[in-house]
Amino acid sequence: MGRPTPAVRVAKAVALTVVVLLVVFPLWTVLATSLATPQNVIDNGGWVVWPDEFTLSAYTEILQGGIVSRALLVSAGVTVIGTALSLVCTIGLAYTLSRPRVYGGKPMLLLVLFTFLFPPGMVPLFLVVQGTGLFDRYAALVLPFLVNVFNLVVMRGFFQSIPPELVDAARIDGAGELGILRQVVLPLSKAVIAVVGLFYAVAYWNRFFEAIIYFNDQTKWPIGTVLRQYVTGGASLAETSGELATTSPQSVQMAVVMLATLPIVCVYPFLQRYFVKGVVTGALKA
Amino acid sequence: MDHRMDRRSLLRLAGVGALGLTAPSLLSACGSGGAGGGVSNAGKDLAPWPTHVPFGGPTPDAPGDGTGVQPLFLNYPEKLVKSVHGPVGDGSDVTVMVVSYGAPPKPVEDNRYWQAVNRALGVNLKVTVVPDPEYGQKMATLMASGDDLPDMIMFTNLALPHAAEFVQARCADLSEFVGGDAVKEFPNLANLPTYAWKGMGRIGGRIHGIPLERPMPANSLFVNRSAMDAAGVPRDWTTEQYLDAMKALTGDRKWGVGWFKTLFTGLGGVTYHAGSLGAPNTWSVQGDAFTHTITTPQFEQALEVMRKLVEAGAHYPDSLTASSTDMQSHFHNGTVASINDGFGSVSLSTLNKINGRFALDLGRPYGPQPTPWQGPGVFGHVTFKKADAARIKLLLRICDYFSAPFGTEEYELANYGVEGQHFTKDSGGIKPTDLYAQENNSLLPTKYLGAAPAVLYLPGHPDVARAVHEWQQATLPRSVRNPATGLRSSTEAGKGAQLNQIIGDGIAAITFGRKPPSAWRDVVAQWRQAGGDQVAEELAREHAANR
Amino acid sequence: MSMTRVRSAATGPPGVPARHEADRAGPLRRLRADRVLLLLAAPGLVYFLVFHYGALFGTVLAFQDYVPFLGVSGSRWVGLAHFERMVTDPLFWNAVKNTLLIAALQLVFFFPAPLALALLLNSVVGDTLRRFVQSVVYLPHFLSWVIVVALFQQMLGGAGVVNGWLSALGVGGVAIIGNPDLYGPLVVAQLVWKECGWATIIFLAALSQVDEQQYEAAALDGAGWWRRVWHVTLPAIRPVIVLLLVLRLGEFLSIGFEQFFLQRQSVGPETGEVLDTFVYFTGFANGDFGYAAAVGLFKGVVGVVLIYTANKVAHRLGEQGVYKS
Repeated sequence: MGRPTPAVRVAKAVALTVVVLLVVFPLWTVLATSLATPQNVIDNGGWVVWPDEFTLSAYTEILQGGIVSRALLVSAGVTVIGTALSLVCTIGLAYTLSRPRVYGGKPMLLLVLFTFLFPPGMVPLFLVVQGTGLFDRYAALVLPFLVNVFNLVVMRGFFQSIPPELVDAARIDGAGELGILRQVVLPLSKAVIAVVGLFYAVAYWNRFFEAIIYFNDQTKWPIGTVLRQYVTGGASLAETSGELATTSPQSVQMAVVMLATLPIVCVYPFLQRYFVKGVVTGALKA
Repeated sequence: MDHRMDRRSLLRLAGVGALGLTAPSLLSACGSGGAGGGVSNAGKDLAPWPTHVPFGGPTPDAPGDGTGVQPLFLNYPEKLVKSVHGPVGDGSDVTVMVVSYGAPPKPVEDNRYWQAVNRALGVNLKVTVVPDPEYGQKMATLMASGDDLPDMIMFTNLALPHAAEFVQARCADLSEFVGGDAVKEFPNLANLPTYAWKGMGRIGGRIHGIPLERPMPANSLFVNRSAMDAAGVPRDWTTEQYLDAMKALTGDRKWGVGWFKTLFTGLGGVTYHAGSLGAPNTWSVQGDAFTHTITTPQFEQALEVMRKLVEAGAHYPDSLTASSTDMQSHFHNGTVASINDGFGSVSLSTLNKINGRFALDLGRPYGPQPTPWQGPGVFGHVTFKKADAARIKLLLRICDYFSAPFGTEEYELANYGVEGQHFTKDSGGIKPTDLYAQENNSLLPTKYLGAAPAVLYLPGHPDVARAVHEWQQATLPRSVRNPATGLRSSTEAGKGAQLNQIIGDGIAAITFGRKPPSAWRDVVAQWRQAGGDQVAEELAREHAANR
Repeated sequence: MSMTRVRSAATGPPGVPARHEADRAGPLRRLRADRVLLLLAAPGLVYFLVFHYGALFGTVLAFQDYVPFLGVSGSRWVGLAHFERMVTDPLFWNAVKNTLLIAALQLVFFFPAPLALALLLNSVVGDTLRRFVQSVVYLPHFLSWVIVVALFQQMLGGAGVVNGWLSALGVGGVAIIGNPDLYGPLVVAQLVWKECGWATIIFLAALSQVDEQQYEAAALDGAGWWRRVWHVTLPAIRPVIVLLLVLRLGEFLSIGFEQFFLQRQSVGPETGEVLDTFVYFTGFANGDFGYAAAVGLFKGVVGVVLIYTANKVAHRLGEQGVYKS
C-alpha cells in the first residue's frame, strides 16, 4: 500500500483517539465503580471515577456460594455446543441456498425469510418448547435458537461471492458438493464463519430470558440469568409496593458487568486472526 | 423433571384449526360484558372472612392499634413462644413458585437455611424463584401451561390480567378451610388482621388465597431530619413551609426533592402531596358511586405543589431518568433531602447505608385537612393447586408456619435462620452473620409463603424506631383507605397498567412544565375514555355486593 | 480482477454444465441429483418448521381475545377488532410517527457509522494497534441498555459531569436529557456508542476478502486513500452493504425496545412513545397478547413490503439483494 499523506495520518490518529476515549472513559467508570467500597459509591451518588480504596469485595460477594461458578459451567456448555450446532446447521442451509438452481431453493429461501419478519410470540414459542418436551432441559436454551436468519443470509451472501471459477475448477477435478464445500467454500469463508460463530456464541452467552421462562429449576440457570438477578434485583415492583428488596449495591452491579464481558474479551483475540486481510488472496495463491 | 408432551398441549398445538374454529359461535355469544363476570363478587354467596384471633405474644414497648400503628419493640424478646404444635408436613415434596428480588438461592445441598426450613416443616420444599422483572411473562406462560402447576403459587399485587379467572378455575377454594371459625385450626393464620384478608379480596365470593400482610402506610416521604433541623424546618409544616423548606435545602449541588422515574408510572409521585392536601386515596365512594382522585380539586392542588417544586428548581434535575436505587444513594449520602419511598424502606439496610450521616425521619402531611393514603395492607397472596382436603391442610400448615408472629420460635427460624449459623444474639438483639448474607428468606423467598403481621423493630436504632412510631401515631389515625382495595374489576385487571401510565404521564407532563396545568382536564378525559369510567362502574357493582 | 469476480458472482450464477442437465430433468431426477445439498439443508429447515412454523399459530392471536389459561381453542375470536382499535387509535399513530422518525435517523446516522469505522480501522497499518482499537470498540455491545442509559445520564444529565463543568465555569447548564427536541439525536447517539464498534465486524470480514492486489494496482496508478476507498473497497463490499441494508429495512420498525422503555418518561409519550413501548403498555403489560400479536403482524407486513421494494431496487441496480426473483 502507498504511504498516506501526513495530513491523512494525523486525521486518522485523531479520529481513532477520540473514538477510543469516548468508549474508554465511561467504561473506566464501570470498572472503577466495581472496585470501590459501597460507602464510597454512596458518597459519590452512585458512580466512582477513582475509588478512595480499591476492593474486590463486590467480586467476592458474587463469586461466593458457588452459584456463579455453576452457572458459568452451564453457559460454557450451552455456548460451545450451541455454537457448534448452530454453525453446522447454518453452514449446511446457507450453502444449499447459495447454490444456483437447487431443487426447491427459492421456496426454501422465502420460507426462511418469512420467519425473519414474523418472529414467534413468547407464549406460542413456550407452548412449542413445552410440547416438544424441552421444558426444564438444557436443550431449551439451544434448539429454539438454532439458526438465526440474519446470520444465515449473511453467510449465504458470502458463499455467493466466492469466485465461481474456483467452484468450476473443483468440479472438473471431480469433487462432489460436499467436496466443494470442504475444499473450496469453507477455506475461503473463514472470516464469515468466525463472524457468525462469534455472533452465535455471544447470543448464547448473553441469553437470559428464556431460562426463566423454560426452566422451573433455577440450578440450571446460565450465567446471564444469574448475573441479571444481581443487576435488576429489586428494581421495579419493590418501588411501588414498598417491598424491601435485597438491593444490590452499585459496585456489585458493575462487577457483574465486568464478569459478563470478560469471557468475550478473552475469547476474542483467538478469533481475531481470521479478520486479517488477504485470506482470499492467500487461498488463491495456494 | 421430565415434561413429556402431554395430551392437552398436543391438542392445543394440533387442534388450533379444528377446535378453534368451532369456538367463536359458543363464546362470542357471551357478549362484551361477559369477561370477568365469574370472578366478580356481585350477586354471589360471600364466604365469611376468617375470624381474627390475636396472638398473645411478648409485650411491646409501645402498643400498636387498630389504625395501623405497629407495636414497637426496642429489644428482641428474651423468651420465645412456640406457636406451631405437631408436625407440619409428611415428608413429601412440595413445589412452590415465588417472586424474587435477589440473586438465586444456593442449592438445597449447600443451603443450611433451606435445610433447616425443610427439617422444621417435614417436607422437601422445591422452590422456583421468578425474577421480579420477568414475573408477568413467567406467570403468563404458567397460566398457558395447562394442569402442571406447582403446589403453591404466590401472586404479587401486580395486576395480572386474567389472574383472578385463572385462580378461580385452577386453584383451590379455601373458604371451607379458613372462612369464619375454621381458621382457628391454623392459629397463626387466625392472627392475621382482617384488613389483610380484605386487601386480598374474594374471587366470586370465595376465599382463594392466604394474604401476605404488610404495614398500613403507603409510599411515604423519607426525610433527612438533620438537614431539616439545620435549616430550621419544623416537623409539622404547612404547604408554604414545605415549599420554602425544599427551596432552602436546594443549592450547591444539593436538592430538596429526589424523585425517580418509576414514581411516574402511576400515582407514586403524587401520593404524599395528594394525601397532604386531602385528596381521596385513589377512589372515593359515596353511596355506591366511585369517583377517582384525579378528578378532584384537591388532586389538582397537589399537582400544583409539584409544579412549583420544579419551577423553583428544588428537585433533582434528572428525576425522570434516575432509577430508584440511584436516587436512594443520593438520599443516603445527603445529595437530596427527601425521597418518596415504600414504607418497607424503614429498615436496617437503609439505616446501614445512611451510616449515621443524618437522622432518618418520615415527613408529616402538610395540608390543613390531610388524608394520608394507606397501602393495600398486603404484598400479595399465596394460592394452592387443587388437591384433596388433607393435602390442602398440609399446605395451609406451611403458610401457618411462615405466618408465625414476632416473638415465636417459628418467626425466628423463618426470618433470621438458625442461631449460631445465620445470626447470634447479644444485648442489642439479633446480629446477622456473614452466612446470613448468602442464605436468608429473601434469597430463598420463603417470606412470600406466609408473613407475620409486621412489627416495628430496628435492632441498634431505637431512636429511629421511636420516631417512626410517633410518626405513625400522628399520621395513621387520619389516614384513609382506598375503597377499591380487594374489589374485582376486570377492566382494572386488564387495562390497569395502561390507565396508570396515562395518569403517570399526565402528572409528569404538568409537573415538569411540558403541558400547562389546564391540560389536566385532557388527561382525565383520556383516562376516562381508556377505561377509567368502566372501572368506576365495575367497582360500584362490586362495592354494592360486598356491603 | 477480483473485483469483477465478486461482482459477477453477485449478478450471475456460475455456469456449470452438470446442473443445466439436471434443470431439464423431472422433479424426481432433480431431487436425486440434489440429495446431498438437500440433506445438508435438512437440519436447518426442520428447525424453522418446528420452532417458527410450529409457533406461527401465534399469529391467530391477532384475531382473538387471547387468554393464556384458556388457550387458543378456548379464547374468544374478535375478528379484526384489534386492527380496528389499532388504526383508529391516535396514540398508535403517534407511536408510528415517533418510530418512523427515529428509524430514519438510525438509518441515516447509525447505518453508515460502522462502515466508516471499519474503513478507518482497515486502513490502520499496525496490526497491534488495530487489534487494540477493535477490542475496545466492541466492549460497549456487552453493556445492557440499563447501564448505557445510566452512563449517558451520568455524563450529560442535568446533574451530570458536563453540566457540572459548565456550572463550574459559570455557564448555564444545557438540558440534553429530558429535552424532547433532542430526544431523537440522543437515542441515536446512544445506539452509535453501544453498537457501532460491534457492527464493524461484518464489514471487516467483508473487507478481509477484498483482494490486496487491487489496492496495489490502484496505488501504482497514483490513487490516494480516498480514491482507493471509493473505487476499490466500496465496490468490492457493495453486495454486503446492500444485503445488510435490505435486511435492516425489513426490520425498519423494530428500532429496539429496552432503550426506549427506559427513557420514554423523560420526554413523555408525545415524543418518547415508539411502537414497541406502545405495544408493551397497551398490550403486553395488560396481558393483551392478541393486541400485541396484531401490532406484530402489522410490523411484519410493513417489513414484507419494505424488503420486497428494497430488493427490487437492488436488482435494478444490478445487485443480488437478499433473494432473487
